[in-house]
Amino acid sequence: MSESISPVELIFGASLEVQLVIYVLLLLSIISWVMIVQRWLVLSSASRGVFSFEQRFWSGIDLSQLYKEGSQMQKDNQPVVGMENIFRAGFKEFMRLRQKNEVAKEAVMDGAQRAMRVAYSREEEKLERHLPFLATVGSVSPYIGLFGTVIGIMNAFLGLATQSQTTLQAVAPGIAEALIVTAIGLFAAIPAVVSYNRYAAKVENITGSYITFSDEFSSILHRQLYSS
Amino acid sequence: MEMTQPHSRFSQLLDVYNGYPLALIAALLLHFLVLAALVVSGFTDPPLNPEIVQPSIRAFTIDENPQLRNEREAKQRQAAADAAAAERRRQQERERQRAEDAAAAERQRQQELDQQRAEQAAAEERRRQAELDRQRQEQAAAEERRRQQELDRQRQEQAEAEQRRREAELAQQRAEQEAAREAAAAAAAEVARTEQQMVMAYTGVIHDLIRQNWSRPPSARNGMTAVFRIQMVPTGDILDVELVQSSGDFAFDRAAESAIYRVGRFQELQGMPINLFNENFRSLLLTFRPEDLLN
Repeated sequence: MSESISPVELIFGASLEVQLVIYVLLLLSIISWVMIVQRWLVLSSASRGVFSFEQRFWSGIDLSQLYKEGSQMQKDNQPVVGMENIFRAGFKEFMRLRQKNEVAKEAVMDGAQRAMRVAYSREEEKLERHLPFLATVGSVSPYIGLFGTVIGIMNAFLGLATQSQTTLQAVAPGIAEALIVTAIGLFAAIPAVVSYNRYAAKVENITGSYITFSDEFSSILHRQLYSS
Repeated sequence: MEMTQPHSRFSQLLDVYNGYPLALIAALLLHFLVLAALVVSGFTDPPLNPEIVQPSIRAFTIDENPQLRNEREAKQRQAAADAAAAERRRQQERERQRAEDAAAAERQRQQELDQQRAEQAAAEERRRQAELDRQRQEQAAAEERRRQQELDRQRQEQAEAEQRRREAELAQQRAEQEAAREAAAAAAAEVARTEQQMVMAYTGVIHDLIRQNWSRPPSARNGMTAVFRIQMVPTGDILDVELVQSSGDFAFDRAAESAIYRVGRFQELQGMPINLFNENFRSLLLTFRPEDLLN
């Protein structure tokens, strides 16, 4: 056959149920791409933040000076993110507890570590937001596409039953229309799966560096507490 | 602050509602592009031909239609009448033919004689003409062959010159690459050497500082070795000291450990590049011997 039907004609000429499935898949694809781009921005910003804050922290700067700089940034409406938040939470708690004379040294250390842990889990939550959605789209949308395909092929065969003489031309458009739904399902799923895997690895990397940092920082606080 | 510069470029993108509008625009743009690509590829295809399905349907309807059947029968009758008329016409034709044949035979004999004479003259003429043509063609072919040979020779010479030139170029390129590789290897070796030198210099500083703070206990004997592992952070602060291998003498181990703690902080390490530090100094092994402090 030299004639061919364009995919767009197939989509808009499809039966109602199949079109419904196609629209659901398109919506999922658009939303997952929104998530992909937004996560990309957030995660790149976070990993850059880790790098720049570690440089500042280990540059030998006075810790209270670093804390004050952060407060100044907050006052200027610049967001303070990631590792700096962990540092600020731990340092704030440490100073507050140390000023009270009756608090034991162990309690000061415990308090600072707890504050850092809380800040850490808050940061982790920020990084991991939307990732489950991407995983869901990645695993479910091929099934949705398959569902649309099955319905489309059923329609094609039902149409075949009413004709007394069957030709390939009578079934072929119906089957093509059904198959395009699977294609759209895969189109939605593949980027979602790829980006989910990539972002999960990246989040793990960033949170790992947060944990390392909070350990190092608490050992510095520990030494400061016991050496004075 | 120059430190926050790389980070602020991205946080600017995130400033407006966490970057969601930007992401939405990007996602919609991508889908529209894909759809547009599909539409464009669809328009270039030829349109669907509506005649494909029709023949089979038409075949059905003819059998069912009585009017069509009548028409067909009328057509058959017409055909039979036509055939009878044609037969009559053929009979008349045959008689006329026989009368004409006799006259024609006479005429034909006369004509054949004339024709033979004319043909002989024409054949003679043609033969002379063909001879001339053949001679001319042979000359042209010889000329062509000669020119072709000339061309071949020229082409071959050019190819040989080209080949020689290409070989010379290749040789030159190879020599250049060789030189570049050697230069790169030399540069890499230089970097490695300077890094190695830096590590040695810092290690020397650390050993000196510890030696200054170390007082050897009287129980120390030659041949004792105590190995310590120290953990440091980039400010030069010592986080942890761990005894890896004891010398067997408790006083000796204690003296070595307290020497490390007395230094407390290697301020000299602060200026070091962070990757060099991570590779070599984050965890460092120190060996103590009574003769002297060696690595």
